[in-house]
Amino acid sequence: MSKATKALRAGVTGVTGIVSAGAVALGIAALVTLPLPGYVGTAPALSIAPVPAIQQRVCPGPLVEVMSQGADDISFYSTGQTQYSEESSEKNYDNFWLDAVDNQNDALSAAPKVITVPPAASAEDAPVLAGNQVEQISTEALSGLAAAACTDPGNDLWLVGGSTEIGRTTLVTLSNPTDVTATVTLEVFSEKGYIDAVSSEGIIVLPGEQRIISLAGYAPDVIAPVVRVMSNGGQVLANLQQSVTRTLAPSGVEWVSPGSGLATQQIIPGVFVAGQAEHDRSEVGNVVSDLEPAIRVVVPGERDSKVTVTLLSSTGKKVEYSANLKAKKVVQLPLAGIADGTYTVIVTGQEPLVAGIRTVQGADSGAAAGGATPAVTDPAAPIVPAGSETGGDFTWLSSTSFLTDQILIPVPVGPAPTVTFYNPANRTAEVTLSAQGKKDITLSVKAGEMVTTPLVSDAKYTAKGVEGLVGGLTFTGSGIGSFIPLNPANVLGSSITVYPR
Amino acid sequence: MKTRVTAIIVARQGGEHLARTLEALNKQTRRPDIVLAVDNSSKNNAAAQLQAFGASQLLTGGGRLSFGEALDVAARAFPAVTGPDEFLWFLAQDSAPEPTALAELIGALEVSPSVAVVGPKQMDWERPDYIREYGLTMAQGGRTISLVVDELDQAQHDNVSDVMAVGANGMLVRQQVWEQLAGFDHHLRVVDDALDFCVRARLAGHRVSVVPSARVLSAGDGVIGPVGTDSYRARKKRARQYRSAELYRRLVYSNSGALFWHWMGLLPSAVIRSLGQLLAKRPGAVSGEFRAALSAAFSGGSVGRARKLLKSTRVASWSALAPLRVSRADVRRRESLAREAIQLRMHGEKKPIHFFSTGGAWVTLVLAFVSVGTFSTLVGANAIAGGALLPLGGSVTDLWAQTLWGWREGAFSVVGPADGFAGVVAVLGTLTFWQPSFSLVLLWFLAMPLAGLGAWLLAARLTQRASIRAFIGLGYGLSPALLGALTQGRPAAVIAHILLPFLFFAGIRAARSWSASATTALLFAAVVACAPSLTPALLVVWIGTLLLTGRYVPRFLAIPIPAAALVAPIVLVQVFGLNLFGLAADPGPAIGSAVSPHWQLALGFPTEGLGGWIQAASFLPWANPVASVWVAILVGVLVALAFVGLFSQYPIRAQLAVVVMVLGIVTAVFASGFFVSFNGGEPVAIWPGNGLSLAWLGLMVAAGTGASILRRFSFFPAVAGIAAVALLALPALAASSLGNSKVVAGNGQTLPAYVVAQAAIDPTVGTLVLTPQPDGGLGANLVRGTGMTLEATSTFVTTGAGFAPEEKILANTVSNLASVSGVDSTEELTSLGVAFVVLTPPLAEVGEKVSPQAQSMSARVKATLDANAGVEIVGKTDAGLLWRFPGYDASAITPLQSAMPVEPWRTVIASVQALVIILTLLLAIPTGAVMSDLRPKRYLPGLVESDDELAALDPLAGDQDVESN
Repeated sequence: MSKATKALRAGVTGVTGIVSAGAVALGIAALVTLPLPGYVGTAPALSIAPVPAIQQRVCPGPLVEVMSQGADDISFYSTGQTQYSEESSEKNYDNFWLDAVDNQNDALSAAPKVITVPPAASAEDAPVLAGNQVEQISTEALSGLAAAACTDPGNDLWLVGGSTEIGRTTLVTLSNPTDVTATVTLEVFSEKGYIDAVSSEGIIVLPGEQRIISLAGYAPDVIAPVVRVMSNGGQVLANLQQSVTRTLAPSGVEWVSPGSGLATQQIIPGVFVAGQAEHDRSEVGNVVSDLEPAIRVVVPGERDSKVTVTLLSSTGKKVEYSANLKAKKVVQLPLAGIADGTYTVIVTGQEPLVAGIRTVQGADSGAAAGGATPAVTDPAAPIVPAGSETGGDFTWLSSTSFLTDQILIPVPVGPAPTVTFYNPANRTAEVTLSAQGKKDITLSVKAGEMVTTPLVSDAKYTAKGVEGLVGGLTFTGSGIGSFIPLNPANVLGSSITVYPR
Repeated sequence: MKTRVTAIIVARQGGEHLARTLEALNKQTRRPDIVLAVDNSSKNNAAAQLQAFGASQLLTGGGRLSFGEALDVAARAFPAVTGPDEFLWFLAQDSAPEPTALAELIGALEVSPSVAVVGPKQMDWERPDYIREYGLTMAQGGRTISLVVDELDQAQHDNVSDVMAVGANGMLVRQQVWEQLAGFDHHLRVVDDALDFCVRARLAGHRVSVVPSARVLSAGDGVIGPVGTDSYRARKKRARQYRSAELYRRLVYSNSGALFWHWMGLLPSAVIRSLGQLLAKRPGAVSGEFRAALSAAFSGGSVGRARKLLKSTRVASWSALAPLRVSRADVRRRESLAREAIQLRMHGEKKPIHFFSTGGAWVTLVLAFVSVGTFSTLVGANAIAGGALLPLGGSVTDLWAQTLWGWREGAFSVVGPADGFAGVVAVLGTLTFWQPSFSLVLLWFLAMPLAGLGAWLLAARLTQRASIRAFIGLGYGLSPALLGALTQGRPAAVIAHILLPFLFFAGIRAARSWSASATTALLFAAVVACAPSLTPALLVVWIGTLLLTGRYVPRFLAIPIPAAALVAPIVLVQVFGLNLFGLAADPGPAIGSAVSPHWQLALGFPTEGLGGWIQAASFLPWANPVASVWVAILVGVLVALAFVGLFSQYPIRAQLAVVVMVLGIVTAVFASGFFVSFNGGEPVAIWPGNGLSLAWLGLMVAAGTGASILRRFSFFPAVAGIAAVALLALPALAASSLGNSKVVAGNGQTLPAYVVAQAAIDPTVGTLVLTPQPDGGLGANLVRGTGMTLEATSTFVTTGAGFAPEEKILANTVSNLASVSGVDSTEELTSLGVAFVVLTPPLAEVGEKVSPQAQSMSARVKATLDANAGVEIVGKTDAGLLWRFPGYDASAITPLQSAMPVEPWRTVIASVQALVIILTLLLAIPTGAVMSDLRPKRYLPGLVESDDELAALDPLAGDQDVESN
């Protein structure tokens, strides 16, 4: 090879090397930075509505008083009058009443109601159905406002609430509207951990019956119980009726409704707090006193979990804190760092958990002169709170499920009904609330925000556009309050998107 | 009586050869009495020369006559036969006899009256001291054998006299005998005409002998006998002509009883011989075999006429010829001598790669140790699970059954094509036939050493330096793409990564041998089957190679054929189903991975997290930027080496390697944006690691070239490269032990043991697997028997192709089962043959937590199934919650319906695929280079080993810096 060829070769190599290295560098830089065309396929799916089934909602029934506090002989008696409100897209109700065998009051009004609507002939969708109940009571033993939703029965229900300390009475009601005998077992978690059930054998609930059991028999002297109700055979509706007596004065009564079930996230909308100035705690610690509002949380699995609590105000302000929870131990976290108002509380954990919230309506918060028995028979009459005379009231709020597009909200007679919607999705929801003879209410719920609006008592609302939201209905008066979770219409009968491969 | 010689000279064209022949004729000591000239040229361009010579008579042939026919034209001018001493002498334009040739031949005929035909020694035109042909004979089977081929004449054959036959060139024959036997058989136009004539002469009671003192030169112009050039086409044509003539003669010579069987045997023997030709790496000869068989089978009345003639002239028995035939032992001896001669000529091209002495064994061993350390958690496992891993079927038969067109698992009621990957899995499972799933465990342990071995072998083709070979081998064996595929549990990507360097290793040699070409084709098919997304990049490489090599196009053109046969069914179905993107879907179950952003892909990492470095740096402040910069520096070392490679003494090799790297990165980046298959409702992107495997191979070769720039000191850059690669791999190597790998030891089952036990008794047992989806939907899959297996997956199902209306039947059942509904699902479950329902843990979006919607769907299914009186809860299992449907009855299952039929497609597709693959396999089996290949070798420029000859051929190529020690 001559010198000239060598030089030429070297030159050609050098130039092509530089040029191609530059081209590669530029090309890869462009490839990395420029947006490229992509393609996201759509999975073949079929959205299928199941064959409509009979719709049934079971109500917990009237509040009961414990008649004898003897060692083994306990009986119950109901005195008050429960107000039911129901609404359905089909009007051919086929309601019936359960036989409350443990209630000594045999009157029909003392029986829990089961609202039933069969689907219309050849209907493609099941009827939309909802029912709620409310009871305001003021006796020597019980006083306060207790509201509850009439809901589907289930096989596995979580009840977050109650207490079996001295002066606190917690009763478990088990209603079996099905045709099959239900064998119910209870699991109780407490602040000390899981309580091995004293009576391991099941509680038999015959078809069409309601049983009432004192939780103290299973878990005495527990400040913060969480009850899991599991049934084999027939499905049941389980509720807790908690009442508090402070130095002989009845200081509130409440129904605890089943929450949305074990999950890593629990959302509780419509948490109304008052008197925060008295018991605001800046540091995160366990709440022991039931005069303070608290978030009761338990991680029932085997592993400890970090839990994050988000308190979202109606103005969009967010307060967030975290805590490490030991597995199986119930903890009551404070509603810390917030002012009075209505909030949505989101509890998120690494492990599945359940959560509920207690708010307290102080005895002295109402200035109104009380004493009169609430005119529950006359819906038009103003509700006169009885709180100032007795020891106040408290409210248990359970976590709620995602709503379906259209739900019914029959508002029973009660003080200042207010509905709250929270939107966990990532797009704005336009909600319309309409009731016969009332002006439509339209709400715009932005992503990640909550909205509250007052409703009219004893009206039957239809809410549209609430798909994916969660909601709750609250009643507040001076010294009284209660909460009804809004449930999706026929959640177990809605259409399903099936990906059949 | 006076002898009379009539010389017949046949010319096909005038020119130098003819002039020399005529001149030689003039110089004969005994001149022929009559010279008849046949001008068989197409344009009569030989006529002038022949006339000038003064031939007695000039006849015209017109250019289309065979030698035998030309002789018959001349026969019209023959003088009448009066006695036995009148001879015919056959010459062509290129048969220059030596001056005494005719005299010697006549002498031989005169002394022995029993001899009817004599032939001279045929010498080479260019080298007159080499014997070209000297007597012919037949093997036991009838094959023509030339007694002497291309030997220096040292009088070593001069003692031979009686032979079976002599060639036509310079043949002197008694005119009486010629006319008695009616001359040459016109059906034998090119070869064997003289052989056949001599055999008939011998059977008619005459003798045939050679005359050593008579010499005639022969140039092989193709006037007598075949054209003598040594091109590939000419050799192919000659082989066909000899085979054709042999078969024809067999039909003519056979006794009438065996004739029919010989005729029937023509095609089958062509098939068998074709397979033999493939094994002998002569695929070009296959068509000749069939053409020869067909021409012999349909030779019109020629066979009959020839048989009649033979019968009428025959006086001697065939056994009289037997001593003149060559014995089998002699044939074998001749063949082995020929083979040795060829191997001697080929020797020197083969360069041993020194696997043990230059570190190949060490590289493999080191990677094997690293592999065992990395997967120490899997030691002793019989099966592995996680990611896109599924167990393999229980028996080898199950595996192969899934490679066929038919009912596809994973979808409800659909018939469709199998993936090519099913074939790869079947081969893999067959390796551990006693427990097919175990092959995946082996694959995991052997992946790194095998990939390193492949890359090392490829490097051995490129360089002599042990350090660079080790760098390329280790670098590829520890590539982030491979480690990503191993920790994410992607068997298809792992196999593709292992096969890629072997593909290039074989591909570089594809130009030189059919064996390498066929091996390349098989590897290409396997890679395309495992990584369909690599197809465009590999086709670009293939087309580029075609353009660069120029010659040997057939050996390259054939490379994609097995791949095409393998994937044709799924490709056609997807194309006609307008699901083109579905073609790129990864085989195996569709499982999403956290795809890295483009810049991480460009650094070589297929999944989010830079191969674990971001997690490893999490204890530092600014973990992300620190890890990114650190990884960029390590990759930068390799890139810098590759950059230097562009200016080394092999810039073309480096350029080509960089092109391959860019192709790989482009493939990976685009792949990450294409979500073409579905895991239930979740779209799954194409695995970008396949492109990155290709890119990493290119980077390693380019970097290895760069390291060679320091020549004797290239050890140092190579070690720097090895260090960079090893550091890059560290977190990924530790992932399995730290529990960051998706792959864990499994029990080889995807369904609960309770179901598997039932399925062992009744394989039709159906299990409805319900998986809550992130969007709140419900994935439903009806599996039969012991559950889904890797070979049973198909992209036809995972890409959503062939979604049939029948799926609604399943969807309806699922919808009612997962709801409080007005119907009891008993009837539907019985009709579907469902015995169990499994609710698996909810599916989460890649990199996200399980969504609340999925959790509530999970709760809904659980609540409704618990409340359903028709099903009984069994309990919690590894696979999820299990319910049992007691109403299951195997005889009550409604048969499935499908739009496409199973047959005849299954048979047609399987036969074509099997044929193509088996033929390629035969061609790929190395059986030794039996056939000489005299053509000059040509290589892929810039890619091949050093050869002085090669260096002269392509100054830019070759590795001339052979280690001096």
